[in-house]
Amino acid sequence: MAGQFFFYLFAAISVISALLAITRKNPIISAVWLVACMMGLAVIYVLTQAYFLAAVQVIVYAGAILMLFIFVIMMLNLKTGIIGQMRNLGIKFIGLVLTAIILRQFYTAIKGTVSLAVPASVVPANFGEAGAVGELLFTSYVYPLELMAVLLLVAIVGALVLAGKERP
Amino acid sequence: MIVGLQQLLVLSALLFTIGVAGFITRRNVLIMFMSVELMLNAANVALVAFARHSGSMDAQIIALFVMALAAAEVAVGLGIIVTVFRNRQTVNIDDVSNLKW
Repeated sequence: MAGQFFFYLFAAISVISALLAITRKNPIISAVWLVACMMGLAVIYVLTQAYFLAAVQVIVYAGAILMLFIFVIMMLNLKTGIIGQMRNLGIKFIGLVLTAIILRQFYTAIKGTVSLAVPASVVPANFGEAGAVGELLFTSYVYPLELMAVLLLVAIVGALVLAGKERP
Repeated sequence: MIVGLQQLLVLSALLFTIGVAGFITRRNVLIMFMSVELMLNAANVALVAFARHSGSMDAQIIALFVMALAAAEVAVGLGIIVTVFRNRQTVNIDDVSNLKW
């Protein structure tokens, strides 16, 4: 039952830090709470036997993406006046109603879910480990992988074109 | 001992809903962007849950691609934010609602 306990602990940590992240006024504090959320999700991945993904989650999300956010926020050097408040009350109300509708839809979708868990004896021993993921990545998914490499290159060039120094 | 599918889906739904709420109610473009990241993560949780519960690792590969996609998206998105801030000195989404000015 230790797995269940850790699941509830880290799920609660993730959800609470996500809530805190979207309600803070200062984007830096939001980003730090989001790092906490990503770390909690990494533990959830370990509990679901996605070991390689858990490592990638920490390295890519917490390590790269959110650090990039923090770099950009610091580079923009926001003054307190332009940090930005919430939207006005009307839009906030509409947003919360929409959110409630979405939550309701999720509830009806998830309510009847039966766990069809494959027993641990059927699942291969190296399920979710780097070797198994890499093998799949370079056999069945080799074309998507190459496309993803091109996409990342395009993203780098795009970011440089957009945010690079103005040419004289 | 693995975690039940329903519990994982509830976690995924909660995170996604928080992301949607943040995206709609905030007008700081950086926090809206972080909300999008949160929604992508919620999708990843669902994918990982289904991967373990179907005994096939294909969904984990898709989750990996989602992460790579998120990295690419953040690079371009933050580039756009920096450019907009340079030109208009604002990160408030309501101030940049015009396509041309």
